[in-house]
Amino acid sequence: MRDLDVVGQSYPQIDAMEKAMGKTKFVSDLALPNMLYGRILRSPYAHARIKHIDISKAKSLTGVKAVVAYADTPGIKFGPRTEDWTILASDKVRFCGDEVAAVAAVDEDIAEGALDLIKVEYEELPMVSDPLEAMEPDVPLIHEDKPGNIAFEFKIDVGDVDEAFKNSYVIYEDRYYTNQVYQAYLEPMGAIADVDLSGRITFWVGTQIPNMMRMTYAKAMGVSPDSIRVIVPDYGGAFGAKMENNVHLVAAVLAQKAGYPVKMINTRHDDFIAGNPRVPMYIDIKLGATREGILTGKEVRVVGGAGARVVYAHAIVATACYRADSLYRFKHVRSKGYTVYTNTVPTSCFRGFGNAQMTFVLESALDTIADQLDIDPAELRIKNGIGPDEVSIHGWIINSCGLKDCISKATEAAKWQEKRQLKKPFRGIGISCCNHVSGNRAFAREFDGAGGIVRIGRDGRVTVYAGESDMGQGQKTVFAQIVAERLGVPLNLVHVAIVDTDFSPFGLGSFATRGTLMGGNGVLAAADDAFKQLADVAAEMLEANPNDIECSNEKFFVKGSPERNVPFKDVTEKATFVRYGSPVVGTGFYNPGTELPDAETKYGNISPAYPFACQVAEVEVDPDTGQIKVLNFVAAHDIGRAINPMATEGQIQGGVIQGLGWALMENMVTENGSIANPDFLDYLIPTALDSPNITPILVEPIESSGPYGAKGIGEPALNPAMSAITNAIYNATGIRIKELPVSAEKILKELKKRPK
Amino acid sequence: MRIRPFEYYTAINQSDVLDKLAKYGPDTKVVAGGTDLVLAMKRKTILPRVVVSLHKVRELDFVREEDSRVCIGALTRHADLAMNTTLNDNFPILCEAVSLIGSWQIRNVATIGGNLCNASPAADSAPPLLALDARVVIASSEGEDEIPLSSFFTGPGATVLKSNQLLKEIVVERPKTRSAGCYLKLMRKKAGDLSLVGVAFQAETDQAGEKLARVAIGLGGVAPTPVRSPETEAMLTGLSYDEAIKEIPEAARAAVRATSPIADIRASADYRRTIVEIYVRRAAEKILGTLFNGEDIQK
Ligand SMILES: Cc1cc2nc3c(=O)[nH]c(=O)nc-3n(C[C@H](O)[C@H](O)[C@H](O)COP(=O)(O)OP(=O)(O)OC[C@H]3O[C@@H](n4cnc5c(N)ncnc54)[C@H](O)[C@@H]3O)c2cc1C
Repeated sequence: MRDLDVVGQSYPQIDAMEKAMGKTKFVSDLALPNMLYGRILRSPYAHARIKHIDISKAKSLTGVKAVVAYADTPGIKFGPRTEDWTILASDKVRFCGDEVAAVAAVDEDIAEGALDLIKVEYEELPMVSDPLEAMEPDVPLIHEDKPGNIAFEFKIDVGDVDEAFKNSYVIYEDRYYTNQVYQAYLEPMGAIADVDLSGRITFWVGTQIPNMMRMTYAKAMGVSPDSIRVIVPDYGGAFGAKMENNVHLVAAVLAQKAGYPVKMINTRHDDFIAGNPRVPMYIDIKLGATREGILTGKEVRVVGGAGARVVYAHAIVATACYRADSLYRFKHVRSKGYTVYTNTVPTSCFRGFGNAQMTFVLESALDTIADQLDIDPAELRIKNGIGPDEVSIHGWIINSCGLKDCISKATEAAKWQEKRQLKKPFRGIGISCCNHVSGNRAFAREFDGAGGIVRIGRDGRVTVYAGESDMGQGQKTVFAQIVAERLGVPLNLVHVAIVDTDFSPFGLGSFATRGTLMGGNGVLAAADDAFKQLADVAAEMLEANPNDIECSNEKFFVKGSPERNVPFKDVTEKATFVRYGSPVVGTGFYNPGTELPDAETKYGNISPAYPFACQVAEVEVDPDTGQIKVLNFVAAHDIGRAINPMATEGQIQGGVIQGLGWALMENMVTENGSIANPDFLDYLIPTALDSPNITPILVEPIESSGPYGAKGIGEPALNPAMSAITNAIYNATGIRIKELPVSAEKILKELKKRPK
Repeated sequence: MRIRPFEYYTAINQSDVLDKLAKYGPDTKVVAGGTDLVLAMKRKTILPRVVVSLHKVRELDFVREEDSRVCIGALTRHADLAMNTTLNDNFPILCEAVSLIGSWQIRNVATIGGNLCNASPAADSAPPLLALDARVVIASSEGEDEIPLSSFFTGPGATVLKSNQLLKEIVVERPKTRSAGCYLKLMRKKAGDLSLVGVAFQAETDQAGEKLARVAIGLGGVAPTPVRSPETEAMLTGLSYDEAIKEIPEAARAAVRATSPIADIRASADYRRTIVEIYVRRAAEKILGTLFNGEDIQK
C-alpha cells in the first residue's frame, strides 16, 4: 500500500465550523409550512387499567387540529424485536410516562394546554419496579402472556464449569448491580412526520437505524416499508438511545389525522421519563483461578430490567452474558440471562450494550482475585489476555489484537509500578481492560455488512451516501477521509450526504461500534468503483492502460510518471460529457463474512474485528467526607488504524468522562414507580471541572478486515472506565464497589464501618 | 413545561418598579436574572399574572463604599460580585461563595437579590452574608426599611417581603480589625450543583491581634432557612490561637446542633450533619491559620 495522504491525519470534523457557528439545522430546528406541534399525554401511574378516555373537550379547544387515543391508531402490536408495543396504550398503562393520548395544535402552548382537557379514568394496579422482585411468584404480570414477567431467557454453557471451579485455587463469588442511567444527549428525541396524498409517511428524525426503524414503523402503521421514508438530518447525539421510540409514531398518527406535518420533540422531562435509558442489571458472578492466576471458569447470572416493553434489552442482556468471555482465554463459561419486565421506562441501548455492565463486574472480580493471589492486577490481565490470531471460546476469530500492548503502554504512562509501590494513604490506582466488536452479526437480522454510493459530478465534487448516520460522533468525517484517500483528492472535495432511505444504501446503522469498519468499507468499495470509472476516462486522456492509472493530489497520472498528469476535475468533466450528463456513480458493498452464532451454543464469529482497551485511573479519597477525586486517567485503545487520530482521541475522552459520570454520579432514581430526578438538577452529569487529565494512547495494529486497517472506538471508550475508577478506589481504601454509582456518602459509610 | 401566559412589564427605574408593584398587587413578581423564577413558572409552582422586569433598573447594580459600610445593589450579578475589588478586599468570603454558584452562564445573569429573595435554604450568598451580619434595605412606594438579614428569611422559599416590596440593597459593615473568612460548599460534582451543605466561617482578631474578637458561622442547606451557629461562635470567641485550635473539634460538633437537615435524593440528614462538623472544623483551622500565622494572608 502506498503512503496515505488523508487517512491517518487529524482533521477537525468536516461539519465542525457549521456546528460551532450555530448554522447546523438539527431536527429541532426544522420547520415545514403549516406545521403543527404535537404533545403526548403520558401516564401518571406505573401500572393502571385505562377505564375511560374522553378527548372531546381537548378537540374543541381553538387551535387544536387533532387529538388521538388508541382507537385512532392502527391498533397493531409491533416492536423492534418483540411485538409487545402499541403506538398508544390500549387497555392499560405500564409505566409512568407511557403514551396515552396526544394532541397536535398550531403552537406548543395550545398543545400543552389541550393535554389538561383530556380526561382519563384509571384504575391503579399493583406495580413492580425492581427486576428481581418482578421475577418472584405472585407478582403482578405486566404482560399477561409472560409468566414471571420474564420476556426472554438466554443460556450459554461451554466446557465444564463445575470441574473448572473444582480445579481452582481461588474462587470469587459476589453480586453486583449496575444502575439505570440516561444517555443525556444534547437534543431530546423527536421527529417531524408528514403524510402525502398517497398516504406515504416521511419522518425527519434523528436515528441511528433509519432502515431498521422504517421496517418496524411500517409494521406499526400497517403499511409497506416503501410507504415510509426516513430522513436523518443532523441530530444532537444518541449514545445508543435513538432507535425506535413511540414519540415518532405518535407524530405520524397525528399527521395522518390532522392532514398537516406534525413536529413532536420531547421536552427534557419527557425524554427522561420515556426515552430509553440503560438496562439496569443484577449480575451474580463466580470466577475461579489457579494459584498462578490462570482463569479457570466463569459463571454469571444476569437479570436485566427491560422496563414496560422490550426495545433491545434482551440483546443487551445476551451481550452481557457472553461478550466479555472473549477478552481472556476462558475455556469454561456458563451464563444465564433473564430479561425481565418491570413497570418502569423501557430500557435499551447505551454505549457498551451490556458489555459495559459486564466489563464493570468482570474487571472488579479480576481485581479481587489479583488481590487474593497477591498478583499485580496488570500482570494477571496480561497472563490471561487473548492475543492476535487466536480463536476465542465462542469462536470469535481475533485478527489484530493489541490488548497486551494497551496494558503495557497504559501502565507505563500512568506510572503504575511506581504508584503501587509507593502507595500513599487514600490514594489509589486501578486498571481495567475490555474487548468489543466492530459490528455484531448476532444483532443484525438479515445480514451484516454495508453498502456505499459515491457520486462525482462534472465539477469534481464528490458526494458520499452511506447508511450509517452521523450523530456527532464524526462518521461523516471518517467516510470523507476514506473516500478522499481512495480517490486521491483533498478532503474538502468530499461531502457526505445525510441518510435518506429514498437515496442512501440500505444500511443497518450506527451502533455496535460498526460505523467505521462496516460503513467505511462500504463507501471504500463504492469509491473503488467510482475510481475505476474515472480511470477509464483518464486512461484515454493519458493514452494509457486503465489499470496503470493512479490519482493523488487531485491529479491522474500513469503509475511511475506523476509529472505527466491530468487534473481530477478535467477527468470528471470529461466523464460527465462522454456519458451525456450522467454523473459518475460508484457503488459497492462490504461482506464481512461473519457468522450468525449457533442458536444453542452461541458459537460463531460475530464480527470481522475486535477492538481492545486498557484504562488506568488514579484517585484520591477524602477520608473525612468520602469524596472521590479522579486525579489522572490513561486510556490505551487498540482501534486498528486511526482514520482520524484527533477524532479518535475525542471519542476516548468523551467515553472516559461518560464512564466517570456513571461511576461517580449518574443515577436514575425510581421512587414509587416514577423517576424522582427527571432533570439535570438532580440527574448529575460531569462538567469540564469534573474531568481529570485524560491521556489517550492509540495502539494501531493494522486490521486486515478494516478500511485502511481501522476497527472502531465508540463503545470501548467507555466500557472499562467504571471499573478502572472503582478498582482505584479499592486500591485507595480497600472498599470494593459492587453497586454503581459510588457517592461520597456511600464511601464514608463504608469507611465508618471500619475499626479505627 | 411551557410557561403560562402572563403580562410583562419592563420597569425603567426603581420608582417605576415600586409603582407597578403597588398597582398590580399580590399576583405580581419581579424578575431579575430569572434563573429561579423562570424555572418556577415552567414548573407552575409560581404563576404570576404580571411579571415586572428589573433588567433596565441599572441603578440597583452597584457595589459602593460608604464610610464604614459597603452597599451592594440587589441587581448585582454574581460574576461581577466575584471579581469586585472592594468586596475582595473586605469580604473575600462573599466572593468565594458566589463564585461557586451554578456555572459561568448562571453567574453572568443571576443576581444576589434574586438569590436572597428566592430564599432557598441552600442559597450560597446567604451564609456568608449572615456571617457578616449583613442588613438588607427593603423599599416600597411607602418608603424604605433596613432590617438584619437574619430576620429576612421566614422559611424555605419565604421571606418577610410583602408583594409591594422590593429588595433594594444589602449593607455590610467593614471589619475594623484583621479579619478572614472562607466558604466551603458540598456539591455532588465540581460545578453546577446546589449546596448540600454550605459553611461560611468569618472571624476577626482583637486590636492586638492576639485573640479572636468575633467568630461568625453561617450554615446553608441544613435547616429551613440559612442559619447561624451561636453556640460554636461563643465557644471560640475570646480565645487565643492555641486555645481555639484545641477547642475546634468540640466547637465543630456543636455547630451540628444548630442544624435540622432533611434527607432527600441528594443526601441523607446524617451525611449533611457529618459534613457540617467537618467543614466547620476545616474552615476554622484554615481561618485561624490565616489570622494568626499569616498563612494565605488577606488584607
Ligand atoms: C443551573 C442553575 C444552577 C444554580 N446554581 C445555584 C447555586 O449553586 N447556588 C445558589 O445559591 N443558587 C443557584 N441557582 C439558583 C439561582 O441562580 C440563584 O438563586 C440566583 O441568584 C437567582 O437570581 P436571579 O437574579 O436569577 O433571580 P430571579 O429568578 O429573577 O428571581 C428569584 C426570585 O426573587 C425575586 N426577586 C428577584 N430580585 C428581587 C428583588 N430585588 N426584590 C424582590 N424580589 C426579587 C423574584 O420575584 C423571584 O421570586 C442555580 C440556578 C440554576 C438554573
